[in-house]
Amino acid sequence: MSSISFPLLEQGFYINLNWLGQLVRIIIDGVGIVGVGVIVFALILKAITTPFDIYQRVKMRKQNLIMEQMKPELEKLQKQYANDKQTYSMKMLELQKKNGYSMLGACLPMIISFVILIIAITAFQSYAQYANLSMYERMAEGYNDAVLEYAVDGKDYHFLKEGEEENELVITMDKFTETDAEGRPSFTEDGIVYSLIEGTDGIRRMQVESTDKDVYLSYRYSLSTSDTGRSYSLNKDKLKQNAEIWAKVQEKVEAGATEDTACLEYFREIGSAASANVFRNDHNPGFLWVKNVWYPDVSYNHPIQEYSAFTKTFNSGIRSEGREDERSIGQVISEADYNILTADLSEEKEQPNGYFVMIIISIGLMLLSQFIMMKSSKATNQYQTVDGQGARTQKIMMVMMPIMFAVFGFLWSAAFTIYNVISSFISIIVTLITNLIIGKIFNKKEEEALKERYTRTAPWKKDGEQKGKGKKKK
Amino acid sequence: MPEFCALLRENARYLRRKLRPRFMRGMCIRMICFYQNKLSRHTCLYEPTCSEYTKRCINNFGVLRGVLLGLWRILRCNPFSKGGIDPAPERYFKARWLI
Repeated sequence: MSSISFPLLEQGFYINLNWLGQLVRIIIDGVGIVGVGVIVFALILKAITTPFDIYQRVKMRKQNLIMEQMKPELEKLQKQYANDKQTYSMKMLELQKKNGYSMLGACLPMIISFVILIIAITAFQSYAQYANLSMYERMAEGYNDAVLEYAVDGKDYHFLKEGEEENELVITMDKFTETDAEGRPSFTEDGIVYSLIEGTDGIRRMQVESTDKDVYLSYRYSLSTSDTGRSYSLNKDKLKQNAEIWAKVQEKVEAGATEDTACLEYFREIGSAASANVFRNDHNPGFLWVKNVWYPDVSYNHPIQEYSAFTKTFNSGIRSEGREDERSIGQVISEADYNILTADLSEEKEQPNGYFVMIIISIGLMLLSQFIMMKSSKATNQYQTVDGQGARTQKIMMVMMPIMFAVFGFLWSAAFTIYNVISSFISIIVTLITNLIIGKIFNKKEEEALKERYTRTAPWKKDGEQKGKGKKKK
Repeated sequence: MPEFCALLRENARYLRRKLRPRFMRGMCIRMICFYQNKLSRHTCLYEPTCSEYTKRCINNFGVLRGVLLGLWRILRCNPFSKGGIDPAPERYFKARWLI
């Protein structure tokens, strides 16, 4: 009898998520499609900031319109106090007060939108790692399930331990009534042969094998310790009896492999085909043209990365079931395992992950929104300070913000880029709508003021006219 | 000379506290200056502005208390507050050298 040991992939790894990551996980699991989940998360965060956004925009626009109205006076002031910042700002405030306006915005809304940005960054950063690891987990699960279809499904019998009550799974030596082919004590149940191995190291093990023809994988486990870790092995003799499989194995042997590795490879291929199916169909992390949302949308990055690049994406410790300590990714997932798992995904390993489109859209929208902001607060920027520093600030922001978002897009996940696109799109819409409404209201007020000025009559006539009007109406 | 050294050693703790360079304080104030010069939009409900207030607080009280006071001020500077003149608190007893 010849058997080859067949290792399965290790499972049960996870990363502890913080509450933000949990929120993202709940939303994405609830929605089902990864990309749409990201959009929903972006909309929720935007819903929190939009009131503050509207407040800021309204203030900005109003101030700008007022400044435009007072343009000639402010220009005069700017010339007069060219070297004195403080007096200028004092005079400007006085002028605004005289006209009955004080249109300074508060600081808190600005800080809140900044804090929300940081929250989004940390949430996506922590969840991207979690998503990559759970992708690996799901693929490993698919691999193991596919291989275990050819394995025995026996019960975990054990000897009675101290302080344990009798139950169904407890056996005694009386039960081993037969002897198997190699002269070991054994018993048969439901077509499964359980035989006892007295190891040379003093540990008793149980060998579980099936008499069924189509079950090729048998396993053994230790009876002495509490955990029942199964180590699987492949039965070559049975494999030989199946002509169809054996022909495929022989093909591999002709290509230069030994018989043992050819058998192993046959089952590994079944497993990696299943894991590829998991990635492509069951839990596809793609959105539109981006193949994997949790990597940047760039053409030099691939949806499935090489092992070295895969390990670099993790910077937090990885926990595994039944262990207290955290380990690094290199200690948990070996390169050989990773290569076996992704063997059928070689296409994805060379494909570009994206075509920079998402990054370009995000930069474009950012530029557009900055441009609209600049247009709608032109007068404010010019007359807020003596030297017109506001305009310079606006220009710096117009260059800095797109550069910042481009860097984020190239370094971090495409999911964050999607968030940026959505949020700047909404902020553009909010700005345009508030500008429109405020402009209309302001125009109406101005018209009324003008009407009042031109329909002004002599004070001694005023009373009489009003009385006359009142009579007519009556 | 040995007497002088003994004097130094006796007052070592006091001297260390007095002579230590204030890196953090300087860095924070520099960052706020950068913000004021390049990024700020110069709108605040209060006088002095939030950033100026924080800068003065850090100068007067150190980084930790200064930043906390500044945060409190930013929280007060919300759409529902009225605004007005709100100068940074001073630490008067620090001016011991005057006596």
